[in-house]
Amino acid sequence: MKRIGIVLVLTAIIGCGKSPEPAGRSQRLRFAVMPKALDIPVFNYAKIGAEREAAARGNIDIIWRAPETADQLRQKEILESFITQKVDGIAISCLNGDFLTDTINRAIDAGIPVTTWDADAPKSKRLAFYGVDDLAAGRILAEQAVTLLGGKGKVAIITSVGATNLQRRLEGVKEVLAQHKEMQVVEVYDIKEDPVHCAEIIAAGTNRYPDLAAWISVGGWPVFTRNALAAVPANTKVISFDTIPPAPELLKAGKVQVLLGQKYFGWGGESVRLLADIKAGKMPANPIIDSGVDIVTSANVDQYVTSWNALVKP
Amino acid sequence: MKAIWRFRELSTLAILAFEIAFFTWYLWPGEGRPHPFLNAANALLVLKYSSIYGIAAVGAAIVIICGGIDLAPGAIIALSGVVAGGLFVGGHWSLASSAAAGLLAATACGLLSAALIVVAGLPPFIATLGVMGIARGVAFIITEGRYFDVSSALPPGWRVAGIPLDWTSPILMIGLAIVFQVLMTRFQWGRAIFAIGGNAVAARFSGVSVGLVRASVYLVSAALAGVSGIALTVVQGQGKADLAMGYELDIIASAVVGGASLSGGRGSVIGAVLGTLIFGVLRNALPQVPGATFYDRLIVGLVVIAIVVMDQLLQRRKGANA
Amino acid sequence: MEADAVAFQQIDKSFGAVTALKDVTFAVMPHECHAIVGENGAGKSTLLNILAGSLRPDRGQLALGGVPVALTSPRDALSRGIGLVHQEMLAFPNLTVAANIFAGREIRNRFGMLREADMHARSRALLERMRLPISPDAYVETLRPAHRQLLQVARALAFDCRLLALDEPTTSLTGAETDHLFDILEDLRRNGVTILYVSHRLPEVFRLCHRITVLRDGRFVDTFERESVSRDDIVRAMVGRSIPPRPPGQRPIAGEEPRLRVSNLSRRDSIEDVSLSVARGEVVGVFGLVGSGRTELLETIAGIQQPDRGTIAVDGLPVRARSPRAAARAGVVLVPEDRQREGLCFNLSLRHNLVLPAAATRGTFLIRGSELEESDALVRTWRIAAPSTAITPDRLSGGNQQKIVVAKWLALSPRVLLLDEPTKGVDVAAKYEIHGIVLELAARGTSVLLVSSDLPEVLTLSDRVLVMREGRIRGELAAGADEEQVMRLATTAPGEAA
Repeated sequence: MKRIGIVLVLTAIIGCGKSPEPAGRSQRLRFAVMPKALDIPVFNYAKIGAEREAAARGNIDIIWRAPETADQLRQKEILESFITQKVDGIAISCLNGDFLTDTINRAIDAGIPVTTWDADAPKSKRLAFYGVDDLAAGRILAEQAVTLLGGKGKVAIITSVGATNLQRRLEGVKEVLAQHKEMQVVEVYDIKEDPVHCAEIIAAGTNRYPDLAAWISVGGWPVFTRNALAAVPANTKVISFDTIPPAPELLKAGKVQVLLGQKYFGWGGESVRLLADIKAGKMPANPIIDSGVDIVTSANVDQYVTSWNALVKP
Repeated sequence: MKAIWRFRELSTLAILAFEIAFFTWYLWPGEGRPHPFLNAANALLVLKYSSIYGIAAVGAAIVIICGGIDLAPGAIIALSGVVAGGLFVGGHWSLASSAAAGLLAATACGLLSAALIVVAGLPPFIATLGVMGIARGVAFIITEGRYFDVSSALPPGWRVAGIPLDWTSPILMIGLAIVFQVLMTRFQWGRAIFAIGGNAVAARFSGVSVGLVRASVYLVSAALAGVSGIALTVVQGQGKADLAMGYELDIIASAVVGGASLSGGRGSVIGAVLGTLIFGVLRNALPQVPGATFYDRLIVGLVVIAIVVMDQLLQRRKGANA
Repeated sequence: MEADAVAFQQIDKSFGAVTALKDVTFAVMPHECHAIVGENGAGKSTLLNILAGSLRPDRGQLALGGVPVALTSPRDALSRGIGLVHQEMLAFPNLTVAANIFAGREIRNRFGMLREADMHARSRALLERMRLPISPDAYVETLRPAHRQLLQVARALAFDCRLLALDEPTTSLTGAETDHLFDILEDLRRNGVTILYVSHRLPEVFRLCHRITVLRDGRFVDTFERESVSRDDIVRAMVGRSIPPRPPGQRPIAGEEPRLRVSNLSRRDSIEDVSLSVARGEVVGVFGLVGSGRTELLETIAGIQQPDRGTIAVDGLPVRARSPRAAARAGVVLVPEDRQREGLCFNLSLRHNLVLPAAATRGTFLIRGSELEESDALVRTWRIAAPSTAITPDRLSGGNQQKIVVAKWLALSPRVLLLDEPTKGVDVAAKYEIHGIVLELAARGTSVLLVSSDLPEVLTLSDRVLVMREGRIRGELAAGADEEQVMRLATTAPGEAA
């Protein structure tokens, strides 16, 4: 009696209505595109880009999959399950590249091509990496700050400890700032990949250092929400990574002065293109593909927004 | 009474079997493709990742049967892994002594929980919450945000006593489950645990050393979490302080799904492991269901509710037939 | 002639198989102080609860001021001017005095918000009227037990109260505080309130009340005028039955060292300077009314509580039991009063319950394979009616559950068996079986210390009866004592002549 109940319950739950047989023609390719986690908004654009590329090519199915929140074990688990499922290609943004190195190698040994995007696993056998040169991007962030502040002032940095790419950006920032004696890094805040934390950190920092000249953020947390920067006083500059909405609005409103944009749609689109080419036998010339960054200031923000909106619509 | 317990474990097994059958059917591949779910490598994958929870769920079930609760396992998993990893990689101790030290760290946490609950009389929820914070904090202090790369210190293809690395955790989980199932059913210690969980006052009046037994279950729970953490570190290759965050809730849910009642006096170690596998299979199979990407949490929640409701109905029907 | 303040007419009330009240009929005159007395279990509290609206009679009626009423709830009774001061402390220690007084009946404005100032003022006036030196803002947990009890009275008086019923209000009061309470009650009476005073403390009853109604075994015996009756008359009415004569010469009283010797045992707030001894094969009964410290005495001997002073010796050897386990290892076991809470684990089978104390106290590691035979043997020996030992205790009757609790300890062959109300809530047949068990054990040499509120039971089983009151042993009576003697000892205050 209870067994029938269980059958009904579970069937009702997973009544997605999909037929048990996926679209069966064998020349459809299944690519798994894995962001770091499902709750990081910046990666949604990668999904749009990937799906657009897949739709354009016509024979690709995208499996968009990641742990709900940043959990390295879960990401590794999901990656391993794609190996046992024998997908046709994997494009992944790694929470911890070294942690995933063995697993990536196993996938490649099993005949599944793997590329990385946004956050690399450099020690692995991955066939390509598409993303910003984090060190260079960090340097650019710092150089923009230096220009804005005229070479002197106190600076606070926001990062998230643990992710390799953020670590590299941080190094780039520190490298440049070290060359300017009159710029002083008063504190480096760890946001622990939790954007909600951001308003707290900024409030605490502003309280502690009332004469702070600028905030440099190696990730987009301050501009993911409208109120994270509320506590920033008018004469403190903000230089941040990421240009996804509502960042351009904030820049236009004067809360942020410089934004560094990554190729968000390209993460998805380029990765799919790379995988499709690899499957067709065309290896990338250079495994490291620098996507470059877009520097957005009040001078070019309107034009940036226009081209962005064109990409967002399917 | 034995028959009732076996009945409950059987129904958990039935749910697991049904789940596997369901996904085997639902994910049946098109021509030319191998079955993504029903293959040996996938089964090993499920076992490997479930055992992180499963080993600790054995301890959680014992604590819950005794009428208590333990929120510290996730943090202890991290701490023991960090201690073992740090000594092995940084201190160049042998693997065996590093593992022993990690286990010692875990047991120390269990001792703290036991002291707070039995001696100081704190409610177990609060006491183990505190120990969770302490253990996690110490782990972070030891690693300072970095990690210990254990896999680099081990030769490639290294095996534990001839067993391939990926098999160690599942074997540990099954072995420990059997050991503790025997302890709980054939030894006076286990009987006392059921008695205390059912009516601690009557147990005390009946001559049971309630304080000692309660202390021992928290020690056991912590030690098992320690074993899980050390296995995790060795198998996954890294001792990190932020691993297993929030796992205690999944561990407790596994024990409850396996038949443990949060009011104490009921439950099963084998059931807890089966409960872990139920969640493990879900975690493994749901990603393969097209379009279900964001429905994970919802489905898991619904499954937990469905199982617990069914359990309640079974209990009530049993009582009504009396 | 004014109508009666309240009249009880043929009230019947039963709880399952237990009859609490049967055909109770009497009347209370207006402005008098009317006492209701009786032994434990006579039905006094049940009657009061019916008056206060928390219980409904199975048969019969209440009449207030000559008018028949059917009370639907405590709130209904309250609105008719009936106030009840409970025996148990129904107070909220985490709230203030004012909040307690108005708990459940707060004054609200038309939006539903609390009118704190009003409640505060009325509390203050009430406390002044009662000459209670406490502030409406004090938290009840800081009050002395005596003040908490008087607070109960205040709570009953907070509303227009025409009939005030008090159930054993002086259990935690000193002499001076009792005087204070009586002054207040006398005051109230002069202002037109009718008082119903339930108590087993006869001196107080005689001091305060004009008429005394006696209940016995749930039935009405008689209503007496205080002027024309003596204390002995009341006692006789309370007890009123004849007991079958005990078979003579059945139990050997050994002249050797007593098996159990307790000397000057004291524990703060429960027992004071208790000394007793029980010989091999002797049954010593301990009688006393609620609050006399009998359960505390047994729990102290059995290792559940620790004494502040005094010694316990078993077979000549001193015993300092720090836990029930240690006491059991010394040969002293306790069958507790509340089998639901203290006696049985309802999640375990009968078999597991039966073998638990033996295994726990002996410290065995492995569960013995023989536990099936052992538990079956116990069930057979003590004639427990159970279809199998694999079921859980909730499926047994109260009497059989009690037998399980007794049997599990007897498996240890104890030297001293302590019994606390062993036949409470037990049907008649099981009750006599348990009596048989006790006598059989005594014949085999076990020493038995038996606490019971059932006077006939105590007198039937015991070789000697100790009477306790307010934590002390008031007296000892040999076999063949009559009930009145016992009752008298149990109801007189220390220092008073019996």
